[in-house]
Amino acid sequence: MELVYSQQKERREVAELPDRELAVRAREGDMVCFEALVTRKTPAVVSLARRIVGSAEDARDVAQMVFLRVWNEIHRYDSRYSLNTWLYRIATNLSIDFLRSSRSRERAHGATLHLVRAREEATAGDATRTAEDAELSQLFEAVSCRLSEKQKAAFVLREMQDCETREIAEILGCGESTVRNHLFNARRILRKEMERLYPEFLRGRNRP
Amino acid sequence: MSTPSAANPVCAIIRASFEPYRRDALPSPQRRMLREHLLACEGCRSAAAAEDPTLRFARPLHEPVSEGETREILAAVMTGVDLLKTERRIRMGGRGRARGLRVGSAAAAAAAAVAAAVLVSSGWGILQSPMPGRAIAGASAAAPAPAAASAASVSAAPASAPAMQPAAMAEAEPAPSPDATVYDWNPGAGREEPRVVWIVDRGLDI
Repeated sequence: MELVYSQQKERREVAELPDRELAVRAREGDMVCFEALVTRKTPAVVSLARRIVGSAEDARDVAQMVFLRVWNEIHRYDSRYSLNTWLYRIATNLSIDFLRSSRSRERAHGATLHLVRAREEATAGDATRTAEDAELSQLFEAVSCRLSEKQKAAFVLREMQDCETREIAEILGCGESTVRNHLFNARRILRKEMERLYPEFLRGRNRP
Repeated sequence: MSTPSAANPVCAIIRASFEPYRRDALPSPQRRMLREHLLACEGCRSAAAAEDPTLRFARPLHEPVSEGETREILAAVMTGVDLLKTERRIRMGGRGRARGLRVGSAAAAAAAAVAAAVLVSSGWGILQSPMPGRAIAGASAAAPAPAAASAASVSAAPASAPAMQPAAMAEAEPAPSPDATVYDWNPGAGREEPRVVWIVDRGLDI
């Protein structure tokens, strides 16, 4: 009983540690800290992977791979740098690898069908932020098929994860000017796709 | 479509910032301000979408992940970590043999382990996928070093199924020899947590 209480207390204490401290302790073999790290970072990793791979189910699979990679390579983590940048780099690379597989490519192309249903659901119910998020999420899936993996990752990291250009350059392993180039091209392609597939989105939310 | 309101100068400033935002030329504080304003102001959101439809994505889009899903991911990751630890132990054993530390016959040498993980937890996951190839791909992505010694055979058997079905094993790996030892690790019995079955087959020299 005392042991259980002690473990719970330890977990509570660990949950309050900053990211870097958690990562450093995990690097030293502290599995409680590693578990806390996984629990804390799962939503962010799943969100990032979801935007890149285009499927919630696949994103959860990628998240598992990401944390396994983190455990395997935690000895390489340099605590002078942000944990998020390191983690996002792993998550982005694995998501891109996953996206390159033919299976996930097929799913991404099939997303257009889901868009219709998502929009019906979003307009049938009350216009909550969640419904709007779901609608935008499905829209992005449908129109981002023509982006290259790097363009997609750069756009997602910049727009949806709100990362700095410098941070994205570090995550993607390229220069800041290349990131800007990816962003510019991604925006151009997305705009073209939205105009082609969903011209009603140009007219704001007051759709006919 | 609404136009910038003279009564609300903030809206006018925000709308004038759309162009530098698109060029990624807006300093961070202004960029943050624009994004926060777009979340709160329906009029500016419409104006932004009319100017450039891609500005619809200028907001955090979080994927809802429930506590239960987080727990499932954590459970699958920890099971994968256990498998990776075993792979490392096996690889270290292999290196020891290469240095001439092996004594005795193959059967008496460091036990060759075939780790067969049967994750009897409902749901999804690379370690619970019904597709063995994919599960192995996930494990090898996490462990780039050759993992030939370990064969992670994954089954998506329902919780009520027996822990180990010889037929299911035969699909991915040869059945263990009769003198193999089976370790059944099921710490979360009855709580839909992963269950791991290890088979240590001393008759197999890897």
